[in-house]
Amino acid sequence: MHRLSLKEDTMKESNMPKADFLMSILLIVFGITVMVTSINMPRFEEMDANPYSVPGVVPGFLGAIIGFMGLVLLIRSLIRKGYKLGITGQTVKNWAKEDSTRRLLLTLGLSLLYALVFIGFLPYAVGTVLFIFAFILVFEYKKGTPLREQKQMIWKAVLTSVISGVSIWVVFRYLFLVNLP
Amino acid sequence: MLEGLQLFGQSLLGFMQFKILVYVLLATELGIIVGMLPGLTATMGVALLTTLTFKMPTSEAILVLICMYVGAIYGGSRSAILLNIPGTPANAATAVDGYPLAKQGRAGRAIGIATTGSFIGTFIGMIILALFTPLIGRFALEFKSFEFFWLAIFGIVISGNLTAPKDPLKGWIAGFLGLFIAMIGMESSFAFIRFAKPGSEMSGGIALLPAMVGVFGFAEIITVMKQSAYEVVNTKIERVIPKFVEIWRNKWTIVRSGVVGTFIGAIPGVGEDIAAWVSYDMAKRSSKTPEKFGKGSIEGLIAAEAGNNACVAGAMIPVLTLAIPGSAPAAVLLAAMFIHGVRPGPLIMIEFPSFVYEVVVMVLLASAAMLILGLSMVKWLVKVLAVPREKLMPIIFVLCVVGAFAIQSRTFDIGVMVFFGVVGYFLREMDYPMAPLVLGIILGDILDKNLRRSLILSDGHLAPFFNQPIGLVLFFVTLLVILSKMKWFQNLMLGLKNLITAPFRKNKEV
Repeated sequence: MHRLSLKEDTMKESNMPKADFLMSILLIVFGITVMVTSINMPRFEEMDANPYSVPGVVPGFLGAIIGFMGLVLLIRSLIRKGYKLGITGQTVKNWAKEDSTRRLLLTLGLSLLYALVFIGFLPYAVGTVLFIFAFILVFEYKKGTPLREQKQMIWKAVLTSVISGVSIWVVFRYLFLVNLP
Repeated sequence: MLEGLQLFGQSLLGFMQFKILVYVLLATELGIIVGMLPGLTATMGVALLTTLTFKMPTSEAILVLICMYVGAIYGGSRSAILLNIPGTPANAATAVDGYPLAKQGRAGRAIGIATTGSFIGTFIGMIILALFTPLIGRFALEFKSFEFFWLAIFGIVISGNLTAPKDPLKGWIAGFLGLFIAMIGMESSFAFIRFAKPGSEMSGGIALLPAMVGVFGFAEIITVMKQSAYEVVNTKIERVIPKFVEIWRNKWTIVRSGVVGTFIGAIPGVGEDIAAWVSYDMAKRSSKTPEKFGKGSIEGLIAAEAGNNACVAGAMIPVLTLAIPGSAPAAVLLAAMFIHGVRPGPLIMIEFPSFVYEVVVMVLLASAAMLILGLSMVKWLVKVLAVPREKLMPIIFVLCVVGAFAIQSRTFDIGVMVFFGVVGYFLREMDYPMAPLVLGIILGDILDKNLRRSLILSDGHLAPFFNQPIGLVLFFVTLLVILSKMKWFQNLMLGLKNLITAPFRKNKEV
């Protein structure tokens, strides 16, 4: 959606054959698994079923096509030398140091924590307020800012999370009569 | 035709109630805000509103959703012009000329032109929708299982082709993965549960809405948060209402973009972003001043916005006549229609003839609201863009969770949303487009039923797949779409063209 900077663009371009190489293997394995599972699906012969109408026909066909496209992708990535993955301790370290990686992992971690743990274990409104608060805090906190500013930021985060969390809860539950988790 | 006009008039009168008009204004304004905010797409907006409106009467609910759709596609032009960040992917082409205009201090003018272009685009789309839907509906009545099989394959192939122009193979892979996802759960002939343990939550299948909220909502949040923060520019906004001359000068560009946008919308799974780029490209090619494109060309801006908004109406044509979505937001709209008990498809002109014209009126109302709201309250609305994403994104994620959960009240669906969000994010990073995937989830059922039915009818022979006229045409078009991306085929065609034109060229030289 957003345009990438030139540096990011070329980096993405050079890593693509590697990503394709890994993805193609995944697709081939997936396609074969789907085909085998489809072949082993019941044929309902005792019910005198038409052999072309059994449940495995269409998924088997799809598995074959997915596997074939995986193969094409594999051949293409091999030509582009995608098998040279070049993953070393250093590249992983560099990746881990990048700011975008930190943001990615934080977003993923917080969201998964909320969707899979908070919901179900905490009351809906409490979990939601807590999640919004934690999210704002984690992303707006900057090292080295004066204590007074930090305090202000925390108060603003508390205010935003309580107002938005509670109003989502009230509006959906009582105004729109939507079931909430 | 006359009957159509009568039904149109009746529907229009039916909607002329104070409450409904308030809904129209509110939903369109909400749509504009959703469209403006990077990270909230039209698809997400329509999906979330589906949850909120499913207790409303059918026609009101669909009206609200269409207003959201039209508003969001238009609203994305605001952030494209002011921030150089398209609010929805549909407005990427808008940013190319809109942002330079804003930098030249003509932001207000750009907004006004984008608004008018969007309005006329939607209007052209609406007229084509009204004229063609009954025709295509009648034609679709001829479709039998062979034709529906080819239609499903054609939809996936063309959607993959156009949404991943650089690497169509990835588009096709995404589409076929989508078709596979539709296979999960209980099938219809023998009630056999495929790819899931009987009794598990998976055995009910993967629902479309949670999956869509995942790939278009959660995945987008991750993408936005990963990037470094954008700066909010403080541009002064002067006069917004455009001069009539400016619009009149570009009348052919608008009409062309409107027609092109509508037809691209009608192609299964090919949405507003492609419509905008194609109209933009065509405008550039036929322009007298192509050098201005990219530097603040009014023509380019108007082409992009007329194209993407016309696409909205176009995307509705296959939804109504074939139950196949023309774009990602239209896929949600289709799901919403099913939830509300309307069954779009070839029988729609027989079962619900007035519904087609109701949809036409809904598009009309939405575009009128868009024009009014778009030209007023500009300064006030721009403030929304100042909300930092650190505060906005967690709230949107909370809405994603609600949207996934609410329709069926299953915690499992939250898991589905999260899974599709994470997987969708990584697939998008590897250039796999998400629109064919979603189209696949919808077409999977059509493919399953019709391929099996066809095979029973033909007793396993493949000949009947190729000897019916409509099916044959669909097959050849599909084949051509695939071949057109192969290098050897392109070379072959070029060679053939040279061979055929050679005698004529010789004559000319003589």
